[in-house]
Amino acid sequence: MATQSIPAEKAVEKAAGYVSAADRVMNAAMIASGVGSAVLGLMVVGAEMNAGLKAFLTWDPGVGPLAGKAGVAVIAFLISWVAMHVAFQKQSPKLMTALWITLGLLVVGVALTFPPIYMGIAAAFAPK
Amino acid sequence: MHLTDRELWTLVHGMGFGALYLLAFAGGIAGLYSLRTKLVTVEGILDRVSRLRWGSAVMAVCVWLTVIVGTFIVYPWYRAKPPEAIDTKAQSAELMDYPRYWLLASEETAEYHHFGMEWKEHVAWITPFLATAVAVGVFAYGKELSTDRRARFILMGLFILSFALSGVAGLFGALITKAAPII
Repeated sequence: MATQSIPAEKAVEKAAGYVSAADRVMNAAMIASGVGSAVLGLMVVGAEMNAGLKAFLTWDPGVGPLAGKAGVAVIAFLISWVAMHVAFQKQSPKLMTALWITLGLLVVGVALTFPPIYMGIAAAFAPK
Repeated sequence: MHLTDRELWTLVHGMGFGALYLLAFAGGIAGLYSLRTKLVTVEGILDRVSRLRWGSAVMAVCVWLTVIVGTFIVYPWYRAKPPEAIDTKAQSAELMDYPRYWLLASEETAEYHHFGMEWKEHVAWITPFLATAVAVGVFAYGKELSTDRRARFILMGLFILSFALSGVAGLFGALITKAAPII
């Protein structure tokens, strides 16, 4: 049964590294959003660098590779969310640790979907 | 007044789901910011949490629908390839039916595609992940948000980031539609 902590108890719990049930649920969803974003960024760069991957990601000829890039990112988001939601019931990072992991993944995702960056990386590393 | 199917779906994507999400943001962020025990009574907190739960869930659904409709219904019309008989090197009236190629036919408008659309079509997909995380957080914490300042601020941060990225997508969507409308 869930219990309601009063603020003073909460401060002690947090100092002791206690992770509440709500924190665990939030951590999983938050990090999964970062995973989805980072995977999206990696798919964007990968498709730009590799014609084979671009063709593989073209799940729909009308939409082009965007269908696969978004599809793979959504699958990564959902799988990582479920996996972490289950795993974090046993052992979970603290809320702030989860936040920093999420922000790191989001930076990767946003940077790798920014055209000057992903096109620059693709131009620099694509096979000649 | 007449709207084609394409114009209607473009409206559903941008002015329907997309605009609803962007407009609801102000209410959502104000609701989260003011959800504090020193500002609201116990009854008020329960009422606001219930509204926030509904609001954040509806917003997450809206942003998912925005990117799904945009990617799988509207975007194929934008990137459709013209028949070989149409010259893709000049911005002609015939080429107007193929917005991507129309933009690329002139150096003055090519960046709308190379920068605007290339960024918009990708970065927009990050927003439903963030909006979902915010909605999950609002449901998980519930009335605890009124006492847990850290969780409230994290949710607000993710919410603002989601809004900013959807704002980028919305801005470029409006600019591209103005330059090369899908008719």
